Amino acid sequence: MEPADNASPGNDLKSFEDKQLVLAIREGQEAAVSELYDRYSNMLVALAHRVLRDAADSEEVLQEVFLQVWNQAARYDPGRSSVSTWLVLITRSRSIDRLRSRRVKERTATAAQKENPVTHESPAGLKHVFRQEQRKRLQTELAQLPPEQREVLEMAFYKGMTQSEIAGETGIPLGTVKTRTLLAMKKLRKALIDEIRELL
Amino acid sequence: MNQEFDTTRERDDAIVDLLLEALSRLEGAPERLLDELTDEDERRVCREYLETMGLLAYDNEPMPLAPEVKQRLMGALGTMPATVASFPSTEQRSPGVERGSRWHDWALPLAAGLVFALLGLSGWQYVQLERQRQTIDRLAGQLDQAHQERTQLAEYQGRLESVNNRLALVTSAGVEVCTLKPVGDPAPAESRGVLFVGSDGQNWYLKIDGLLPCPQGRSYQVWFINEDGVPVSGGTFDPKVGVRVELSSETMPAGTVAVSITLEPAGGSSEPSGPNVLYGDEAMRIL
Repeated sequence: MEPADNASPGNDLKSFEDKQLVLAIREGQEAAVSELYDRYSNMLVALAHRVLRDAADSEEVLQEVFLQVWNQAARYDPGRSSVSTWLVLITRSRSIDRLRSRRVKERTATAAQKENPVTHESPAGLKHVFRQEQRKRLQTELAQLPPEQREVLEMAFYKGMTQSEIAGETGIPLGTVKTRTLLAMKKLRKALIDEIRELL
Repeated sequence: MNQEFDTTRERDDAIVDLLLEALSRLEGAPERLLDELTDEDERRVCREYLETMGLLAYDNEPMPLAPEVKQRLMGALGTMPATVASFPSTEQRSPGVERGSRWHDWALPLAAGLVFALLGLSGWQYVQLERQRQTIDRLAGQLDQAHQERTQLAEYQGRLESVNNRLALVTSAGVEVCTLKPVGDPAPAESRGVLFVGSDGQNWYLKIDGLLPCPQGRSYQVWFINEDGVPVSGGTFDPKVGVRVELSSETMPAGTVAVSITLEPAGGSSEPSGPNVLYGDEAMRIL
Protein backbone atom coordinates (compact mmCIF):
# COMPACT_ATOMS: atom_id res chain seq x y z
CA MET A 1 0.00 0.00 0.00
CA GLU A 2 1.27 3.47 -0.80
CA PRO A 3 2.02 5.70 2.17
CA ALA A 4 -0.54 8.34 3.05
CA ASP A 5 2.04 10.95 3.99
CA ASN A 6 -0.03 13.67 2.42
CA ALA A 7 -3.20 12.47 4.13
CA SER A 8 -3.31 15.45 6.46
CA PRO A 9 -6.70 17.03 7.07
CA GLY A 10 -5.74 19.99 4.94
CA ASN A 11 -5.25 17.93 1.79
CA ASP A 12 -7.99 17.08 -0.62
CA LEU A 13 -8.97 13.49 0.02
CA LYS A 14 -10.96 13.43 -3.20
CA SER A 15 -7.73 12.99 -5.12
CA PHE A 16 -6.73 9.98 -3.00
CA GLU A 17 -6.86 6.47 -4.35
CA ASP A 18 -9.07 4.06 -2.44
CA LYS A 19 -6.08 2.33 -0.88
CA GLN A 20 -4.70 5.64 0.36
CA LEU A 21 -8.05 6.42 1.89
CA VAL A 22 -8.00 3.13 3.82
CA LEU A 23 -4.54 3.96 5.06
CA ALA A 24 -5.77 7.37 6.19
CA ILE A 25 -8.68 5.68 7.98
CA ARG A 26 -6.19 3.39 9.65
CA GLU A 27 -4.48 6.52 10.93
CA GLY A 28 -7.75 7.73 12.41
CA GLN A 29 -8.89 10.29 9.82
CA GLU A 30 -12.67 10.47 9.91
CA ALA A 31 -12.67 12.59 6.76
CA ALA A 32 -11.30 9.60 4.87
CA VAL A 33 -14.33 7.54 5.96
CA SER A 34 -16.51 10.34 4.72
CA GLU A 35 -14.79 10.29 1.33
CA LEU A 36 -14.97 6.51 1.04
CA TYR A 37 -18.64 6.69 1.98
CA ASP A 38 -19.27 9.24 -0.78
CA ARG A 39 -17.62 6.95 -3.30
CA TYR A 40 -19.28 3.68 -2.41
CA SER A 41 -22.37 4.09 -0.22
CA ASN A 42 -24.91 4.24 -3.06
CA MET A 43 -23.57 1.11 -4.65
CA LEU A 44 -23.23 -0.76 -1.35
CA VAL A 45 -26.69 0.12 -0.08
CA ALA A 46 -28.11 -1.05 -3.41
CA LEU A 47 -26.32 -4.36 -2.92
CA ALA A 48 -27.67 -4.68 0.63
CA HIS A 49 -31.14 -3.83 -0.64
CA ARG A 50 -30.91 -6.47 -3.36
CA VAL A 51 -30.27 -9.05 -0.64
CA LEU A 52 -32.61 -7.75 2.04
CA ARG A 53 -35.39 -6.00 0.09
CA ASP A 54 -35.80 -3.60 2.95
CA ALA A 55 -34.64 0.02 2.90
CA ALA A 56 -34.22 0.45 6.67
CA ASP A 57 -32.32 -2.81 7.07
CA SER A 58 -30.08 -1.91 4.12
CA GLU A 59 -29.18 1.44 5.66
CA GLU A 60 -28.36 -0.28 8.96
CA VAL A 61 -26.10 -2.73 7.12
CA LEU A 62 -24.37 0.19 5.42
CA GLN A 63 -23.80 1.79 8.82
CA GLU A 64 -22.32 -1.46 10.15
CA VAL A 65 -20.06 -1.80 7.12
CA PHE A 66 -18.49 1.62 7.50
CA LEU A 67 -18.16 1.21 11.27
CA GLN A 68 -16.33 -2.04 10.55
CA VAL A 69 -14.11 -0.24 8.04
CA TRP A 70 -13.38 2.40 10.69
CA ASN A 71 -12.58 -0.18 13.36
CA GLN A 72 -10.82 -2.74 11.20
CA ALA A 73 -9.08 -0.78 8.46
CA ALA A 74 -5.82 -2.35 9.62
CA ARG A 75 -7.13 -5.72 8.49
CA TYR A 76 -7.45 -4.63 4.89
CA ASP A 77 -4.80 -6.25 2.72
CA PRO A 78 -4.43 -4.82 -0.80
CA GLY A 79 -2.79 -8.07 -1.84
CA ARG A 80 -6.06 -9.89 -1.33
CA SER A 81 -8.60 -7.63 -2.98
CA SER A 82 -9.32 -4.14 -4.17
CA VAL A 83 -10.99 -1.80 -1.69
CA SER A 84 -14.12 -1.97 -3.78
CA THR A 85 -14.30 -5.75 -3.59
CA TRP A 86 -13.40 -5.69 0.11
CA LEU A 87 -16.35 -3.39 0.76
CA VAL A 88 -18.65 -5.45 -1.46
CA LEU A 89 -17.74 -8.67 0.36
CA ILE A 90 -18.28 -7.12 3.80
CA THR A 91 -21.63 -5.69 2.72
CA ARG A 92 -22.68 -8.94 1.13
CA SER A 93 -21.85 -11.07 4.15
CA ARG A 94 -23.44 -8.66 6.61
CA SER A 95 -26.59 -8.52 4.48
CA ILE A 96 -26.79 -12.30 4.18
CA ASP A 97 -26.16 -12.65 7.93
CA ARG A 98 -29.03 -10.30 8.59
CA LEU A 99 -31.24 -12.08 6.08
CA ARG A 100 -30.59 -15.41 7.76
CA SER A 101 -31.19 -13.91 11.18
CA ARG A 102 -34.44 -12.47 9.89
CA ARG A 103 -35.50 -15.81 8.47
CA VAL A 104 -34.79 -17.52 11.76
CA LYS A 105 -37.02 -15.03 13.51
CA GLU A 106 -39.63 -15.59 10.78
CA ARG A 107 -39.84 -11.90 10.16
CA THR A 108 -41.21 -11.17 6.74
CA ALA A 109 -39.72 -8.49 4.58
CA THR A 110 -42.31 -6.04 3.42
CA ALA A 111 -42.46 -5.34 -0.24
CA ALA A 112 -43.78 -1.91 0.59
CA GLN A 113 -40.29 -0.81 1.58
CA LYS A 114 -38.95 -1.24 -1.91
CA GLU A 115 -39.57 2.37 -2.79
CA ASN A 116 -36.95 5.07 -2.37
CA PRO A 117 -38.01 8.03 -0.25
CA VAL A 118 -38.42 11.11 -2.39
CA THR A 119 -36.34 13.17 0.03
CA HIS A 120 -33.20 11.29 -0.96
CA GLU A 121 -30.53 13.02 -2.94
CA SER A 122 -28.99 11.78 -6.13
CA PRO A 123 -25.84 9.71 -5.77
CA ALA A 124 -22.62 11.64 -5.46
CA GLY A 125 -19.07 10.62 -6.15
CA LEU A 126 -20.02 7.46 -7.95
CA LYS A 127 -17.86 8.29 -10.94
CA HIS A 128 -14.82 7.88 -8.73
CA VAL A 129 -15.58 4.25 -8.42
CA PHE A 130 -16.91 2.68 -11.54
CA ARG A 131 -17.63 4.71 -14.58
CA GLN A 132 -21.20 4.67 -15.74
CA GLU A 133 -20.34 3.16 -19.11
CA GLN A 134 -18.41 0.37 -17.41
CA ARG A 135 -21.37 -0.37 -15.19
CA LYS A 136 -23.57 -0.50 -18.26
CA ARG A 137 -21.11 -2.88 -19.85
CA LEU A 138 -21.27 -5.15 -16.81
CA GLN A 139 -25.05 -5.08 -17.01
CA THR A 140 -24.86 -5.89 -20.71
CA GLU A 141 -22.52 -8.80 -20.05
CA LEU A 142 -24.78 -10.10 -17.31
CA ALA A 143 -27.78 -9.72 -19.57
CA GLN A 144 -26.02 -11.78 -22.21
CA LEU A 145 -25.57 -14.71 -19.86
CA PRO A 146 -28.11 -17.47 -20.41
CA PRO A 147 -30.83 -17.09 -17.75
CA GLU A 148 -29.98 -20.44 -16.18
CA GLN A 149 -26.32 -19.39 -15.72
CA ARG A 150 -27.28 -16.02 -14.31
CA GLU A 151 -29.76 -17.63 -11.94
CA VAL A 152 -27.19 -19.90 -10.25
CA LEU A 153 -24.62 -17.11 -10.08
CA GLU A 154 -27.08 -14.76 -8.40
CA MET A 155 -28.20 -17.44 -5.96
CA ALA A 156 -24.58 -17.95 -4.93
CA PHE A 157 -23.79 -14.24 -4.72
CA TYR A 158 -26.93 -12.70 -3.28
CA LYS A 159 -28.18 -15.57 -1.15
CA GLY A 160 -24.82 -17.01 -0.06
CA MET A 161 -25.93 -20.48 -1.11
CA THR A 162 -23.51 -23.32 -1.73
CA GLN A 163 -23.73 -25.11 -5.05
CA SER A 164 -25.27 -28.12 -3.27
CA GLU A 165 -27.92 -25.87 -1.73
CA ILE A 166 -28.67 -24.37 -5.14
CA ALA A 167 -29.03 -27.87 -6.58
CA GLY A 168 -31.38 -28.76 -3.71
CA GLU A 169 -33.53 -25.67 -4.13
CA THR A 170 -33.76 -25.72 -7.91
CA GLY A 171 -33.87 -29.49 -8.39
CA ILE A 172 -31.00 -29.20 -10.89
CA PRO A 173 -28.25 -31.84 -10.62
CA LEU A 174 -25.19 -30.61 -8.71
CA GLY A 175 -22.89 -31.18 -11.69
CA THR A 176 -25.11 -28.98 -13.87
CA VAL A 177 -25.15 -26.23 -11.23
CA LYS A 178 -21.35 -26.30 -11.10
CA THR A 179 -21.02 -26.18 -14.86
CA ARG A 180 -23.41 -23.26 -15.16
CA THR A 181 -21.71 -21.26 -12.42
CA LEU A 182 -18.32 -21.93 -13.88
CA LEU A 183 -19.35 -20.89 -17.37
CA ALA A 184 -20.90 -17.70 -16.07
CA MET A 185 -17.82 -16.81 -14.04
CA LYS A 186 -15.48 -17.50 -16.95
CA LYS A 187 -17.52 -15.37 -19.35
CA LEU A 188 -17.63 -12.46 -16.94
CA ARG A 189 -13.96 -12.67 -16.08
CA LYS A 190 -13.09 -12.69 -19.76
CA ALA A 191 -15.42 -9.82 -20.61
CA LEU A 192 -14.35 -7.65 -17.69
CA ILE A 193 -10.65 -8.50 -17.60
CA ASP A 194 -9.60 -4.89 -18.27
CA GLU A 195 -11.66 -3.55 -15.40
CA ILE A 196 -10.46 -6.36 -13.16
CA ARG A 197 -6.80 -5.71 -13.89
CA GLU A 198 -7.30 -2.04 -13.13
CA LEU A 199 -8.43 -3.09 -9.68
CA LEU A 200 -5.49 -5.41 -9.02
CA MET B 1 -7.95 -15.42 -24.18
CA ASN B 2 -10.04 -18.45 -25.19
CA GLN B 3 -6.87 -20.41 -25.69
CA GLU B 4 -5.77 -19.49 -22.19
CA PHE B 5 -9.06 -20.71 -20.76
CA ASP B 6 -8.86 -23.97 -22.66
CA THR B 7 -5.39 -24.81 -21.49
CA THR B 8 -6.06 -23.89 -17.88
CA ARG B 9 -9.60 -25.16 -17.64
CA GLU B 10 -9.05 -27.62 -14.84
CA ARG B 11 -7.22 -25.07 -12.72
CA ASP B 12 -9.98 -22.51 -13.28
CA ASP B 13 -12.65 -25.08 -12.47
CA ALA B 14 -11.01 -25.89 -9.18
CA ILE B 15 -10.43 -22.25 -8.25
CA VAL B 16 -14.00 -21.19 -9.03
CA ASP B 17 -15.30 -24.18 -7.09
CA LEU B 18 -13.18 -23.29 -4.05
CA LEU B 19 -14.05 -19.62 -4.32
CA LEU B 20 -17.79 -20.27 -4.44
CA GLU B 21 -17.48 -22.57 -1.47
CA ALA B 22 -15.56 -19.86 0.39
CA LEU B 23 -18.14 -17.24 -0.54
CA SER B 24 -20.91 -19.39 0.92
CA ARG B 25 -19.03 -19.41 4.23
CA LEU B 26 -19.22 -15.63 4.24
CA GLU B 27 -16.96 -13.09 5.86
CA GLY B 28 -13.23 -13.52 5.47
CA ALA B 29 -13.31 -16.95 3.85
CA PRO B 30 -12.52 -15.83 0.26
CA GLU B 31 -9.54 -13.83 1.50
CA ARG B 32 -8.32 -16.82 3.53
CA LEU B 33 -8.59 -18.96 0.42
CA LEU B 34 -6.22 -16.54 -1.34
CA ASP B 35 -3.77 -16.84 1.54
CA GLU B 36 -3.75 -20.60 1.13
CA LEU B 37 -2.79 -20.43 -2.54
CA THR B 38 0.98 -20.48 -2.78
CA ASP B 39 1.28 -20.66 -6.56
CA GLU B 40 1.50 -17.11 -7.91
CA ASP B 41 -0.47 -17.92 -11.03
CA GLU B 42 -3.26 -19.63 -9.10
CA ARG B 43 -3.37 -16.69 -6.74
CA ARG B 44 -3.68 -14.23 -9.62
CA VAL B 45 -6.51 -16.21 -11.23
CA CYS B 46 -8.29 -16.51 -7.89
CA ARG B 47 -7.91 -12.75 -7.37
CA GLU B 48 -9.37 -12.11 -10.81
CA TYR B 49 -12.37 -14.29 -10.08
CA LEU B 50 -12.80 -12.63 -6.68
CA GLU B 51 -12.76 -9.21 -8.34
CA THR B 52 -15.27 -10.55 -10.88
CA MET B 53 -17.58 -11.38 -7.98
CA GLY B 54 -16.92 -7.94 -6.52
CA LEU B 55 -18.00 -6.30 -9.76
CA LEU B 56 -21.32 -8.13 -9.67
CA ALA B 57 -22.51 -5.62 -7.08
CA TYR B 58 -22.44 -2.93 -9.76
CA ASP B 59 -25.28 -4.66 -11.53
CA ASN B 60 -27.65 -2.89 -9.15
CA GLU B 61 -28.80 0.65 -9.77
CA PRO B 62 -27.09 2.86 -7.16
CA MET B 63 -29.56 3.80 -4.44
CA PRO B 64 -29.81 7.37 -3.25
CA LEU B 65 -29.35 7.89 0.49
CA ALA B 66 -30.68 10.56 2.78
CA PRO B 67 -27.97 12.86 4.18
CA GLU B 68 -29.01 11.81 7.71
CA VAL B 69 -27.64 8.32 7.07
CA LYS B 70 -24.16 9.73 6.61
CA GLN B 71 -24.62 12.12 9.52
CA ARG B 72 -25.51 9.20 11.79
CA LEU B 73 -22.43 7.33 10.64
CA MET B 74 -20.08 10.23 11.13
CA GLY B 75 -21.68 10.89 14.51
CA ALA B 76 -21.07 7.31 15.53
CA LEU B 77 -17.41 7.55 14.51
CA GLY B 78 -16.52 10.57 16.55
CA THR B 79 -19.27 11.62 18.91
CA MET B 80 -17.44 10.96 22.14
CA PRO B 81 -14.11 12.70 21.45
CA ALA B 82 -15.83 15.61 19.74
CA THR B 83 -18.19 16.05 22.67
CA VAL B 84 -15.39 16.02 25.21
CA ALA B 85 -13.40 18.50 23.14
CA SER B 86 -16.35 20.84 22.92
CA PHE B 87 -16.38 21.43 26.69
CA PRO B 88 -15.36 25.03 27.38
CA SER B 89 -12.25 25.16 29.57
CA THR B 90 -11.37 27.89 32.06
CA GLU B 91 -8.45 28.97 29.87
CA GLN B 92 -10.82 29.64 27.00
CA ARG B 93 -12.91 32.10 28.94
CA SER B 94 -13.07 35.66 27.72
CA PRO B 95 -10.52 37.95 29.40
CA GLY B 96 -13.38 40.22 30.36
CA VAL B 97 -14.96 37.63 32.63
CA GLU B 98 -13.97 38.43 36.23
CA ARG B 99 -14.36 36.39 39.44
CA GLY B 100 -17.11 38.54 40.84
CA SER B 101 -19.28 38.65 37.67
CA ARG B 102 -22.96 37.83 37.80
CA TRP B 103 -23.81 34.12 38.02
CA HIS B 104 -25.76 33.95 34.75
CA ASP B 105 -22.77 35.22 32.84
CA TRP B 106 -21.14 31.83 33.29
CA ALA B 107 -24.03 29.60 34.41
CA LEU B 108 -25.95 29.82 31.17
CA PRO B 109 -23.06 28.88 28.89
CA LEU B 110 -22.14 26.12 31.33
CA ALA B 111 -25.73 24.79 31.35
CA ALA B 112 -25.83 24.97 27.57
CA GLY B 113 -22.52 23.13 27.41
CA LEU B 114 -23.80 20.47 29.78
CA VAL B 115 -26.99 20.01 27.79
CA PHE B 116 -24.94 19.79 24.64
CA ALA B 117 -22.64 17.22 26.19
CA LEU B 118 -25.56 15.21 27.53
CA LEU B 119 -27.20 15.20 24.12
CA GLY B 120 -23.96 14.06 22.54
CA LEU B 121 -23.50 11.38 25.18
CA SER B 122 -27.08 10.19 24.74
CA GLY B 123 -26.59 10.03 20.99
CA TRP B 124 -23.40 8.08 21.40
CA GLN B 125 -25.03 5.68 23.87
CA TYR B 126 -27.98 5.24 21.51
CA VAL B 127 -25.66 4.33 18.65
CA GLN B 128 -23.73 1.93 20.89
CA LEU B 129 -26.96 0.31 22.06
CA GLU B 130 -28.16 -0.02 18.49
CA ARG B 131 -24.91 -1.70 17.51
CA GLN B 132 -25.12 -4.04 20.47
CA ARG B 133 -28.71 -4.87 19.63
CA GLN B 134 -27.74 -5.65 16.03
CA THR B 135 -24.87 -7.80 17.22
CA ILE B 136 -27.16 -9.64 19.64
CA ASP B 137 -29.72 -10.17 16.86
CA ARG B 138 -27.07 -11.50 14.54
CA LEU B 139 -25.58 -13.79 17.16
CA ALA B 140 -29.04 -14.99 18.19
CA GLY B 141 -29.74 -15.84 14.57
CA GLN B 142 -26.48 -17.72 14.26
CA LEU B 143 -27.15 -19.51 17.54
CA ASP B 144 -30.61 -20.56 16.39
CA GLN B 145 -29.17 -21.80 13.15
CA ALA B 146 -26.44 -23.73 14.93
CA HIS B 147 -29.03 -25.22 17.28
CA GLN B 148 -31.18 -26.31 14.36
CA GLU B 149 -28.20 -27.81 12.62
CA ARG B 150 -27.17 -29.63 15.80
CA THR B 151 -30.69 -30.99 16.26
CA GLN B 152 -30.74 -32.10 12.64
CA LEU B 153 -27.33 -33.71 13.03
CA ALA B 154 -28.48 -35.59 16.14
CA GLU B 155 -31.51 -36.76 14.21
CA TYR B 156 -29.34 -37.96 11.33
CA GLN B 157 -27.00 -39.71 13.77
CA GLY B 158 -29.98 -41.41 15.42
CA ARG B 159 -31.27 -42.56 12.06
CA LEU B 160 -27.84 -43.73 11.02
CA GLU B 161 -27.41 -45.67 14.25
CA SER B 162 -30.81 -47.26 13.78
CA VAL B 163 -29.96 -48.23 10.19
CA ASN B 164 -26.61 -49.63 11.35
CA ASN B 165 -28.30 -51.69 14.07
CA ARG B 166 -30.76 -53.11 11.59
CA LEU B 167 -28.03 -53.79 9.10
CA ALA B 168 -26.01 -55.57 11.77
CA LEU B 169 -29.06 -57.62 12.68
CA VAL B 170 -30.05 -58.70 9.18
CA THR B 171 -26.48 -59.53 8.20
CA SER B 172 -25.50 -61.31 11.44
CA ALA B 173 -24.68 -65.00 11.44
CA GLY B 174 -27.59 -67.16 12.59
CA VAL B 175 -30.30 -64.58 11.85
CA GLU B 176 -33.75 -66.12 11.30
CA VAL B 177 -35.98 -64.77 8.57
CA CYS B 178 -39.74 -65.21 8.45
CA THR B 179 -41.84 -63.99 5.55
CA LEU B 180 -45.35 -62.65 6.25
CA LYS B 181 -47.88 -63.11 3.46
CA PRO B 182 -51.36 -61.64 2.93
CA VAL B 183 -54.16 -63.73 4.35
CA GLY B 184 -57.26 -61.56 4.35
CA ASP B 185 -59.34 -59.06 2.42
CA PRO B 186 -57.83 -55.84 3.87
CA ALA B 187 -54.39 -56.81 2.57
CA PRO B 188 -53.50 -56.24 -1.08
CA ALA B 189 -52.07 -59.31 -2.79
CA GLU B 190 -48.69 -57.60 -3.23
CA SER B 191 -48.31 -56.70 0.46
CA ARG B 192 -45.45 -58.42 2.24
CA GLY B 193 -43.65 -58.46 5.56
CA VAL B 194 -40.25 -59.83 6.51
CA LEU B 195 -39.26 -60.48 10.13
CA PHE B 196 -35.59 -60.79 11.04
CA VAL B 197 -34.77 -62.29 14.45
CA GLY B 198 -31.21 -62.14 15.77
CA SER B 199 -29.31 -65.22 16.86
CA ASP B 200 -30.03 -64.26 20.49
CA GLY B 201 -33.74 -64.81 19.78
CA GLN B 202 -34.46 -61.34 21.21
CA ASN B 203 -33.53 -58.61 18.77
CA TRP B 204 -35.99 -58.37 15.93
CA TYR B 205 -36.68 -56.13 12.95
CA LEU B 206 -39.88 -56.24 10.90
CA LYS B 207 -40.35 -54.48 7.57
CA ILE B 208 -43.73 -54.30 5.89
CA ASP B 209 -44.54 -53.08 2.38
CA GLY B 210 -47.72 -52.58 0.40
CA LEU B 211 -50.36 -52.38 3.12
CA LEU B 212 -53.23 -49.96 2.60
CA PRO B 213 -53.62 -47.08 5.08
CA CYS B 214 -55.85 -47.97 8.04
CA PRO B 215 -59.55 -47.18 7.81
CA GLN B 216 -60.76 -44.39 10.10
CA GLY B 217 -60.53 -45.41 13.77
CA ARG B 218 -58.45 -48.51 13.14
CA SER B 219 -54.78 -49.54 13.52
CA TYR B 220 -52.72 -52.47 12.39
CA GLN B 221 -51.34 -54.52 15.29
CA VAL B 222 -48.42 -56.98 15.34
CA TRP B 223 -48.80 -60.22 17.34
CA PHE B 224 -46.14 -62.75 18.32
CA ILE B 225 -47.78 -66.15 18.83
CA ASN B 226 -46.18 -68.85 20.99
CA GLU B 227 -46.35 -72.65 20.78
CA ASP B 228 -49.60 -72.66 22.81
CA GLY B 229 -51.24 -70.21 20.41
CA VAL B 230 -51.11 -67.32 22.91
CA PRO B 231 -50.62 -63.92 21.17
CA VAL B 232 -48.47 -61.13 22.64
CA SER B 233 -48.74 -57.64 21.15
CA GLY B 234 -45.69 -56.28 19.34
CA GLY B 235 -47.15 -52.81 18.79
CA THR B 236 -49.46 -50.93 16.43
CA PHE B 237 -48.83 -48.89 13.31
CA ASP B 238 -50.65 -46.90 10.63
CA PRO B 239 -48.92 -47.09 7.22
CA LYS B 240 -48.86 -44.37 4.60
CA VAL B 241 -49.20 -45.11 0.90
CA GLY B 242 -45.87 -46.09 -0.65
CA VAL B 243 -43.93 -45.81 2.63
CA ARG B 244 -42.29 -48.88 4.14
CA VAL B 245 -43.19 -49.65 7.76
CA GLU B 246 -40.18 -50.60 9.89
CA LEU B 247 -40.54 -51.86 13.48
CA SER B 248 -37.87 -53.20 15.80
CA SER B 249 -37.21 -54.07 19.42
CA GLU B 250 -34.58 -55.67 21.62
CA THR B 251 -36.99 -58.17 23.18
CA MET B 252 -39.24 -60.88 21.80
CA PRO B 253 -41.68 -63.07 23.73
CA ALA B 254 -40.24 -66.51 24.54
CA GLY B 255 -41.35 -69.45 22.40
CA THR B 256 -42.59 -67.36 19.45
CA VAL B 257 -43.44 -69.60 16.49
CA ALA B 258 -45.58 -67.31 14.34
CA VAL B 259 -46.22 -63.65 13.60
CA SER B 260 -49.53 -62.14 12.68
CA ILE B 261 -50.78 -58.66 11.78
CA THR B 262 -54.43 -57.86 12.37
CA LEU B 263 -56.62 -54.82 11.89
CA GLU B 264 -57.77 -53.58 15.32
CA PRO B 265 -59.50 -50.55 16.84
CA ALA B 266 -57.20 -47.48 16.92
CA GLY B 267 -54.63 -47.81 19.68
CA GLY B 268 -54.66 -51.61 19.63
CA SER B 269 -56.41 -54.45 21.49
CA SER B 270 -55.37 -56.73 24.34
CA GLU B 271 -55.88 -59.72 22.04
CA PRO B 272 -56.56 -60.13 18.32
CA SER B 273 -60.14 -59.21 17.49
CA GLY B 274 -60.02 -58.00 13.90
CA PRO B 275 -59.32 -59.71 10.60
CA ASN B 276 -55.89 -61.23 9.93
CA VAL B 277 -53.98 -59.23 7.32
CA LEU B 278 -50.49 -60.76 7.16
CA TYR B 279 -49.27 -63.99 8.67
CA GLY B 280 -46.01 -65.98 8.77
CA ASP B 281 -44.87 -69.06 10.65
CA GLU B 282 -42.05 -70.47 8.58
CA ALA B 283 -38.74 -69.22 9.83
CA MET B 284 -35.56 -69.86 7.94
CA ARG B 285 -32.16 -69.65 9.61
CA ILE B 286 -29.50 -67.78 7.64
CA LEU B 287 -25.91 -68.82 8.35
